[in-house]
Parts: sequence; C-alpha cells; structure tokens
Amino acid sequence: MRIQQREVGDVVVLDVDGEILGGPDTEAFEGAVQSALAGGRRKVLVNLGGVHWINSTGLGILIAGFTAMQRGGGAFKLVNVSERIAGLLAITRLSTIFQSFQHEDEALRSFD
Amino acid sequence: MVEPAETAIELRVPSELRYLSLVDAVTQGVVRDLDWDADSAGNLSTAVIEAAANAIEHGNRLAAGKSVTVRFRLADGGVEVEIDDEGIGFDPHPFDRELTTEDLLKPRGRGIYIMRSFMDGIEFQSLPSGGMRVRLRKRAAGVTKPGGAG
Repeated sequence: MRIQQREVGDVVVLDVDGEILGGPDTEAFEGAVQSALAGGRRKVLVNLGGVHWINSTGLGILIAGFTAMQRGGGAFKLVNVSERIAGLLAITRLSTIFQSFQHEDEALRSFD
Repeated sequence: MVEPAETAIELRVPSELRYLSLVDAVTQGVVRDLDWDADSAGNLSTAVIEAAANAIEHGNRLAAGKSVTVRFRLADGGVEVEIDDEGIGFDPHPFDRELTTEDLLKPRGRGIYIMRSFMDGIEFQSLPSGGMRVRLRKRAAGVTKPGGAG
C-alpha cells in the first residue's frame, strides 16, 4: 500500500494505492491520520480509487482511522469505493459507519 | 459412467502478506475460466484472501520457511478451494459467529464471518501434519453479462 497526502481546502485527502492488508500498512495509515490530527486537521477523505481489494485486517485499519478522527472531533469519509470493496463494507455493515461517495467533488462538499 | 470433468490448480506461497496479491490474481484467473459475474468472482477472491491471510498470519505466524498452499478444484461450474497452513492449529469456533452491533467498530474478528457470508460452504479441518485446512465451496454463480466486465 502507498499513501499520498494532499490538501483540498481544509480537507486532508489520502490517496491510497495498492492493497490494504495489515502489517506495515497499519503503521503507515495510522501515521497519516495522526499526522492530520496533530496538524489540527479534522476532515479526512480517503480516496480508495487505487485500491484493488481490502481484507478484514485492512477494514480494521480503516476503522482505526475513523475512530481516531471521531475521538478527535473530526470526520473520516471514503471516496472512489470499488464495487468489490463496497460489497465487503455492506456485508460487514461498515457501510452504516463509513460515509462513502463516488466522486471527490461530492465528497469534499459533504464536509461543509 | 463418465465422471464429470474436474480441473485442479495448486499454488504455494511463502508466509508473507505481500503474496496475497498473487493469491488474488490466481483466484481471479481461475474464476475467469468459470465465466462468473464480477460480484461472484470478487466475493470468492475476498474469501480466499481472508483464509490465506489467516493461514499466513495466525497459522504460520509469518514464519520464514513455512508455506501456505491454495488448491482449487473446479467442477460443474463451481469451485472448491482448500487453504492449508503449516502451523499448530487453532480453534476457529469462537470466531465463527454473526457480527453484533458491538462488533461494528472492533478492528478485528471479521475474517471467518466474511468467508461464511460470501461462500456456500466453509469447513475447518486439523491436518495430521498439525496445520489447519480451510475448505471453501461456492456453487456455480451468475455468468458474466454480455458486454460486461469479465
């Protein structure tokens, strides 16, 4: 997994590429979320457009990011979720927790 | 009586999580031969990856020198997949249950639930060698729509 961070207004966008499957991915993702929080950012949008698949450990990584932002009084949302990942979020009922969007513009507007 | 044709494919990978991408690629390739729809193919692959990740992480405990074997058998448009590790075995039953509302934000504990949800059958078997075998079964699924992604 690779993460690139960019800022659009007051939203931190994390562009994730590859697979989210645990191991070193956990540290990298948590680091990116903690870095946003430490910088006073409270809006994180995770762009999953480059992610082919996620396993249950990867879901745990997203949950940890969501929980960290929630505890910090912020929001954590997803964009460009593939049908395969959407199916996984639905079956695990995480689709009721994560707000997800098809397009980045729409996702960014949702933070307003 | 002529037995139905069966195809068998076997893949053996080291106990490193990065090889899950190879497991995914092979699973997708196997399903391509079955002409399933994209959802069914993705669900099978997700279940196989869960089993292989468990075998690598919890079965073999990421030990160098230990392998995970993934064996596909195709027959009658369906597939049976066996995932074997070389660990010391574990009791899957505490993890084999429905998810509750309290489980929603827990970081772990969804793997077996995901496998069971996406497959028609799942079995756990202790191997004489000491490892665990997970057997996943999925019957023939919907076929690819004409002009759709396959």
